[in-house]
Amino acid sequence: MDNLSFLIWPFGACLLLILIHTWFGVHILERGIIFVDLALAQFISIGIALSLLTGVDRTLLAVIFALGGALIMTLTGRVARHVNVEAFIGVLYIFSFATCTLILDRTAHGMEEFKAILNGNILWVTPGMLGSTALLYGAVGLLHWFLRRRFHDLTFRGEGPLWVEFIFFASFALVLVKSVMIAGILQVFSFLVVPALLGRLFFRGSGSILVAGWIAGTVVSSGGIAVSHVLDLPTAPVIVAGLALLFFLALAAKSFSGRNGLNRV
Amino acid sequence: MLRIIVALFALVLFTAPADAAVKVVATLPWIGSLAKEIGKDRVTVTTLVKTSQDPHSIEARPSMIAAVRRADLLIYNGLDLEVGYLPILMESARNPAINPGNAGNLNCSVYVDPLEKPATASRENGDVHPLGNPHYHLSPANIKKMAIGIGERLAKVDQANAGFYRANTARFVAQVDHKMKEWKGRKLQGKRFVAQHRFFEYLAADFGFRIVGYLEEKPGIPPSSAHIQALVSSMSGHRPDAILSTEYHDRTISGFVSSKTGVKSVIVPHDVGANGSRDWFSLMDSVIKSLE
Repeated sequence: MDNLSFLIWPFGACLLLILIHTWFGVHILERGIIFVDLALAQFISIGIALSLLTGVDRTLLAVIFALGGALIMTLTGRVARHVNVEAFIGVLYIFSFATCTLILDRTAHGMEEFKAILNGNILWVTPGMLGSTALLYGAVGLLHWFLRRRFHDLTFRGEGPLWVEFIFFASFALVLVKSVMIAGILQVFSFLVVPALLGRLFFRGSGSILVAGWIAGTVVSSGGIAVSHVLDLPTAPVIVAGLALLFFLALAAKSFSGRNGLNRV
Repeated sequence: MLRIIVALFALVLFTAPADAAVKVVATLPWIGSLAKEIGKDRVTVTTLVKTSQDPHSIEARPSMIAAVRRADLLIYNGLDLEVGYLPILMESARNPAINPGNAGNLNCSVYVDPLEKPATASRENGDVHPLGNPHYHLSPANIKKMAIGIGERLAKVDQANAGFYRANTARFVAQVDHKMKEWKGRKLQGKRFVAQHRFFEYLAADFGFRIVGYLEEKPGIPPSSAHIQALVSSMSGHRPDAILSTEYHDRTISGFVSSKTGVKSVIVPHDVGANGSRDWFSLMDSVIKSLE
């Protein structure tokens, strides 16, 4: 029994990740900016690359770039008349990626150390990391609870002041910094998009979508950790593939059941 | 829910055998192979990185934490090679026996005189590894010291079998000396190579060949066009014998430079398991063969 206690921490981390990312996922999907997390995470990586080059505190630079990225995303509303926002996000991603490479070219370890920092792995989560993650996610969750109506108006009606938009993206960027460091970009992206997509297959209200996504995410995470343990497979890919598979199955079931077709996904 | 899952896990774990052998966890295949060579049936060895994988990173599986948690002895390369995963893996496993400073923690690099170690470790020497080059295992001179270090450590952890480990170590060292005579006769002396990455420096020091240029100065960062141009023109002036890379490196650049210069590109097996090697000796046989 004692041998298995270490799996409690990754499981706890999965729960925290699902709670917060499904919530953000509902908003991100509705806004149609699905790849914003990849772009933001890559933009924040510029800060991490800079910290490797200059020796300046990594967390400080990551936070500065998270806020900078949030500011850029806030202002995309202004350029939406000229360019498709998803295309803009794509360009922001490749720009950030290229910039990271150029910065890392000047550091000692090149890509190696950088990849190790960025590709956190859910299996390596320690009680301390879980605690600090819970603290940050809890604070962001509380903030979102108080501002939920404003965020709702922004996402579903496109109404609201710029500062609310900035707080939305800033809190999202800060959550991303933490999430990517503990779980890696692949798992974070799947937790952001897939549970909310699953919810949207069957429900229309954002509350119902959220709860359905939480349940699906929790079931797949616990199943994924169990399968990965029993078959000794890499944990994160099992969870990600399992989540995607559940989505495909649900989509197929929904498509062939013939009931009122698909919701917009 | 959680209770059921944990119960299911426990069921699986009960099937695990409990034996008296020393439980060794090795990060890299060559370390695992060396530990097995010296410990034979008195040790069980778990190796974290597969031969086909980049030694700087691992695919995290639950069994790795379980293995480190149960380990009596953790043996690793050191010189920051495993810095991406080992510290955090040790923290997750929370096994005091294998913490630094204890008998259960063996950093093999303590037996090596690191090459390329900067005199002053500052960030201004941005292009060097602060602790020195970590790829020291393709060197007979080093491997003898490793074997003695591992043998002595096993003798300390498992004192009842100390004589057994020391005898196996002596046999291993004698075999290295014996094979070295054969390898020295293979005319690597004076050869010149271009390498993908700083991977062959210790080997070059042992066998008297030279690495005259590098495709990539930093791992994972594509070289600049000016660097490749200068390399290609110097290679055309004074042709090296081959371009060396390993199976886990990207081969696009070596293929490109090879096609520009006509110098053949060679994949050197980098660890035990590559090219079907079963142990360090057959690995070295195939390394030397690839360099001829």
